Amino acid sequence: MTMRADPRPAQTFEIPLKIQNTGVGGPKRIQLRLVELSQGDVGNWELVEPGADVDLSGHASSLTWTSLSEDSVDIDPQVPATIMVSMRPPANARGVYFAGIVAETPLPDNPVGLVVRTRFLIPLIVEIKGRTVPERVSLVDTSMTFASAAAGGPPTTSAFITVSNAGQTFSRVRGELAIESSAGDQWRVVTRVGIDERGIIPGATLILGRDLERRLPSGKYRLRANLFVDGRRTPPLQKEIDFEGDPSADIAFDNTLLLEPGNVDVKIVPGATRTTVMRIANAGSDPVQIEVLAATPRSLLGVQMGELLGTDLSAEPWVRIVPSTFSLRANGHQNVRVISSVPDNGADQPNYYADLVLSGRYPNGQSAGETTSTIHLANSSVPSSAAGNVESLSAAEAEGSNFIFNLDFVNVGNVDVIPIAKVTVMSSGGEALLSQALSDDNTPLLPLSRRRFSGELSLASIEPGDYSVLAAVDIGAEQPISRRYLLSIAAPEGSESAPTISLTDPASDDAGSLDVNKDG
Amino acid sequence: MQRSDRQLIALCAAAALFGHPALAADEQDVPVTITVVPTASIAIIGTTNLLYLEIPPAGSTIPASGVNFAITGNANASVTAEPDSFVSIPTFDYPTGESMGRAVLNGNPVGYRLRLDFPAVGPGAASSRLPGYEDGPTTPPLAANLMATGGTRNGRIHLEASPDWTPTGGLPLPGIYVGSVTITVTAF
Repeated sequence: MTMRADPRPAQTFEIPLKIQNTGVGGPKRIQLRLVELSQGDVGNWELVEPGADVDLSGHASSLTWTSLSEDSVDIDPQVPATIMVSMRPPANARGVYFAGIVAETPLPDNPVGLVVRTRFLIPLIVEIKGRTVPERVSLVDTSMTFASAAAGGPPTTSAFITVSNAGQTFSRVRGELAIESSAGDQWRVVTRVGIDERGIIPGATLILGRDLERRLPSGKYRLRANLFVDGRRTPPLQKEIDFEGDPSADIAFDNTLLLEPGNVDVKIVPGATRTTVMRIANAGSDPVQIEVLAATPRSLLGVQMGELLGTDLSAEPWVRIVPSTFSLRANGHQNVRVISSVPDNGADQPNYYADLVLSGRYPNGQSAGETTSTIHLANSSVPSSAAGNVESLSAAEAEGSNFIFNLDFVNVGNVDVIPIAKVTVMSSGGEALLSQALSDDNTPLLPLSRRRFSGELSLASIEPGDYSVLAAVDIGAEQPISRRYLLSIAAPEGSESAPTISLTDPASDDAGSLDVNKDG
Repeated sequence: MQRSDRQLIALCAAAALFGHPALAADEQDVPVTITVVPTASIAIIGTTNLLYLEIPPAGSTIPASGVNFAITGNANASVTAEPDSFVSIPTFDYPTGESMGRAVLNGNPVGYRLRLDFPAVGPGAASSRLPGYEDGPTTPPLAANLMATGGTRNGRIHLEASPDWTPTGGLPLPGIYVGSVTITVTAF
């Protein structure tokens, strides 16, 4: 439920918005309007009603140059209505701009009682092509809180990172947190958790947390936080805290749960059943209750290529784990069978994937940690083909003459790949002047999945002028997948000033280059 | 829950996919694009989308009522609830007045509080209230990752009322009071 576009300054363009009535009765009337868009503490979108006392400093709004073709529409069941969203950014527009589209059911003419209305808030994100803007996204704090049962749910501990965007980019952030407890002169890891990726708008400060699913007693703890901005690791933050927790709790450390083999690769034949045995070992000193399940990988959810849905590549419906729950004593182990039963019809893809999620709990219900691996079902009767697209390359200003390059890559093949990306600045004569490898996580990228690579490049040694940038991704094929962009470096006005650059895509010169995306 | 059990205000908004040509470049010409088709929909479960605020004759108990809903989609969904108007009501905790939702009968207002449960049950179940611990015209947002639970999480919006919640502290007129509460859904 996000609309995105990347026009040039002063470019007039339209985007269609479709709204469906999924009911089965009569038509429903929906009212539409534009609002200012802001972001809440956890990264959620918030609408700002006209006249509301909300600080929008540092916020770039597209409201003044955006309009809707309709302000009310009657929608028949199962027949989508299309509303055109028109925009014309000003000639001096730069960076990313935001607005919200509100689609809501109207108040009935003669209401009886308190009517519940429903409303959708659809973020509209416009990123202007051309000149770069500064990126200033940083990790500013980390913390941990205890919520007692009085808060409504089970007593638990949550850990947080605080992320601030003082720049002008709309960046993607994700985090990693290690929670350690003091044991004399040593620190012992209680657990490590990830913070899910989401977007952060200019001027926003997000407090992103994770439920540790355990009570922790009061005491001295150390929090070690890492932040990844557009896939690039930023300086870490470490903080020791005196934590006020549950006085009745003992520390539940993550247990060491070992899974062998690490990943499951099964050659399948439609209509046949295959069984693989995995060994799960508890290397800890306490008994744990284990649950093992197969799940559709997140990256396959909500994506589509032509008629092929990401979920069409999920192995989850065909995989059973036996046994799926069991107890493991300290230093004990258990063999489980991964049974893949593929039907005669419908298995027309060469590769199917599922996450194998192994989670442990102590007898008192506290989390003992989680381990995830991948189940890959290979259908040799259909050939695999590795392919990819460089979707976009963008740049943002860092310190001095440094610039951050973000490359978005998508796997459009039918098999997982491990992509390795780099950018190369080239002269007009084709000579490579600078090259920089871009960061990634070195894990397989499933079909139909996206990944953002990022890296910082100093252009101090490059004279002002026109160049090209080659964005290349190696997926193990004969030739890297690449795409060329035009780079213009402008001379600074003063000798101490940093250069400015403009990055354009010569193959995308129309109004659209439109991407409809979800932002988490 | 079958579709027929749901109120017909189940809407799904999705940004349309532009008929844009495939990405092209001098090094490649792969006529394929991956599109993300995020969806989020809300369906009222049951036969009514009304939160009854019926003031009974003095001495009776105001009946509690709630409306259940389901949010379906493939992303993180955030939900808030807000009344269409507010009224300041003196209460035991806030004798100078607390800003509540406003419902009206023949021009006479009463106040009500809102409680939003989302997800109402299961992992991550949470509640927020209006008035709550934070200032603002809506309940604090409650969010859930829909992908982690097969795409659907149920929620509930609940009304809290009291015969004393009038601007003057006097008894309200018996009858059905009118107003509206809006549930806002967004994906992030």
